[in-house]
Amino acid sequence: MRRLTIDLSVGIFVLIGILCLTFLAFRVATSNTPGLGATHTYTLYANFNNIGSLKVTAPVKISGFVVGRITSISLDTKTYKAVVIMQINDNYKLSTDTSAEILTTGLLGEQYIALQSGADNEYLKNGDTISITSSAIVLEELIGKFMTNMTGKN
Amino acid sequence: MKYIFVRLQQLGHPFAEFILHLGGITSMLFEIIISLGYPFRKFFLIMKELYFCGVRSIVIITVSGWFVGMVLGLQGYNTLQRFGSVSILGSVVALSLLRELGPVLTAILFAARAGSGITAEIGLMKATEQLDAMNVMAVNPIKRIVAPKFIAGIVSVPLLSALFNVSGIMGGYFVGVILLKLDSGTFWSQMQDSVSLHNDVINGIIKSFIFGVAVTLISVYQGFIAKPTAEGVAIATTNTVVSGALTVLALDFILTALMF
Amino acid sequence: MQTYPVNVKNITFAYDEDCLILKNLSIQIPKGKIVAIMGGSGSGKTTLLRQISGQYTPQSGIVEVFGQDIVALNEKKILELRKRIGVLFQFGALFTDMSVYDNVAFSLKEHTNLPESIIQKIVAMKLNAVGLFGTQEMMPQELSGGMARRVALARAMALDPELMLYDEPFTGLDPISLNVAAMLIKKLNTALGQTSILITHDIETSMKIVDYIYFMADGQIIAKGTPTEIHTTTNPAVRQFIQGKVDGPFHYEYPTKLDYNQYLGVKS
Repeated sequence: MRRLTIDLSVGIFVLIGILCLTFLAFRVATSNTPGLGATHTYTLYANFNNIGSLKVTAPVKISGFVVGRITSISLDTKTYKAVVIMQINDNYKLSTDTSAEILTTGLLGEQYIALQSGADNEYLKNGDTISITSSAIVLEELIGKFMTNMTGKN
Repeated sequence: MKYIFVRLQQLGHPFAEFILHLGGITSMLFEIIISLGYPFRKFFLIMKELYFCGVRSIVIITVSGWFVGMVLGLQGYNTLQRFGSVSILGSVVALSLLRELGPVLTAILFAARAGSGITAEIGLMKATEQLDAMNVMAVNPIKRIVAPKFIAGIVSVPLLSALFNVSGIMGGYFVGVILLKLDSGTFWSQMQDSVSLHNDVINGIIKSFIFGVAVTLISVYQGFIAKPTAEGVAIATTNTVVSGALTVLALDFILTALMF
Repeated sequence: MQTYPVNVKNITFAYDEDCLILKNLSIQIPKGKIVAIMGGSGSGKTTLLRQISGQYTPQSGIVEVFGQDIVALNEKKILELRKRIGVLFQFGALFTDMSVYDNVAFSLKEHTNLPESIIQKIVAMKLNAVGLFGTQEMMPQELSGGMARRVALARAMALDPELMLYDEPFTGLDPISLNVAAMLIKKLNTALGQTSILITHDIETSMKIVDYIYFMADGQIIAKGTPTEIHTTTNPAVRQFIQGKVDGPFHYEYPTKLDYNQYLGVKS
């Protein structure tokens, strides 16, 4: 009789624990991270003159919606441009004239890559490079431009 | 060699003792691992221990989680309000719990409740010669008494941490959305946006597993080496809670540095 | 050359480095006999028993049980050996989280593959031998001290051991239980052809059932003989012990350098 109580309550306990873990994994955490492993992704490359403060796990968004993640940032020693490698969710196809921009979340938040799809009929395949890129806006350059404008007016 | 030993003792009795205990715990862990076959063959031993450690801790963990979540909600709201960023309250509550408070507090509460119980039980068995009796009947108490408790502990703690976290998030939701009238949708979506499966949830689970191992190991070890007197058992029980808590906090620092 | 079931040769043992408990002790226990080891508190009797049961290892010397040096044995051999030895602890040491049945059946379940039905019958027989048939479902907490010890005896007997070690079996028992216990030990010893070693300081009761007595003091054997021999010995320490005299080789008072009268301020 006592055995029954123990078995039953332990079973319920383990069940509750697993349910909690599942809840945390699926309802609390981001649901469409490529890192979940089950989603299929393809690789795209992009070169930038300046990546600003872009970091490796930063999101790649289209119209504000996350479609991928940055998996690597390195320097091309021949062109001295920054090479960004990103994984894009297979569900999203991008035309070959897609442009990539580095934008900032909010005013001073983390930076991410925003993709703008183009009009081409052909789509980027795994391993392709996005040709149209726009570098990050560096605050100092912006202020410098502003100052130049101001002095220019005078 | 003797010179080193004397120097060690001069460094302070506590330090030399600490090293000795570290060695003792490691050898106990080794003995437990090699006797793991036995408790799995007599599964009811593990079930019984799971009941005493896990099931009996559900109430304290759920209630504590709920309160901690509520406090996070309140404090978070107070502070974020100043920066006009109350919308990220969901993230603040969830991340604080998943990464730190859930694993750490659960482990410490477990040490206080279940851990001290384990120590007292083993210590008492030692004082009443039950461990000796088992030994002369050719049954190693490590495989019969210690190993099942160990397994129960390392299974219970991660599960209880998850329970603590869920309870806490609900508490935070209760304070933020129901009491302080934040938008429910914002609460959940901000949370989902900032909580990553890998970095936060899984790291949190890994932490709680490691804490579970540490706390359970300390509990059984202290019980095993307790002096077979009433005072000895009392001291051992206190040691379990204190060293358990300190070890969890120290490990937390190391793991956080490694993971985040 | 008769092999003794228990043959202790020149052992020394100390718990801490400074306090030697057993000093160069040698003792042989003949087969099939009931042997009592007596002595004052702190003479090392229980420690000696622990050496024989293998719970402690002597710093030097050899402890041979059934012809095997127990110090040198590996895990498996110790297991085999322990099945042939039964130990009764002073207060029973029953497993408090198990019922009487589970306690007595413990060795059977651990070391044999007997089916449950047979185990139930064996447990019933053992409990009956100690007069406690019917208590199977009770928990150790519900038993009186004497009953707990009897259950512990049934438990120790579960595998019909050839060697029985009793740690103070008579201490704290009422006159009836005392007699019952003594008769039980004798009965089991004869019925199973056991070798039994009793640690005790109960002279009267043990004299009735033992075949040979060893007297210990200060970690050494100071006298030995049959009950009759011991009763008529001229050894002053033994005489003091038997007659319960305060004065004699055994010190009743703690050896201190302080002067009692001076301490009180009374002129001696």
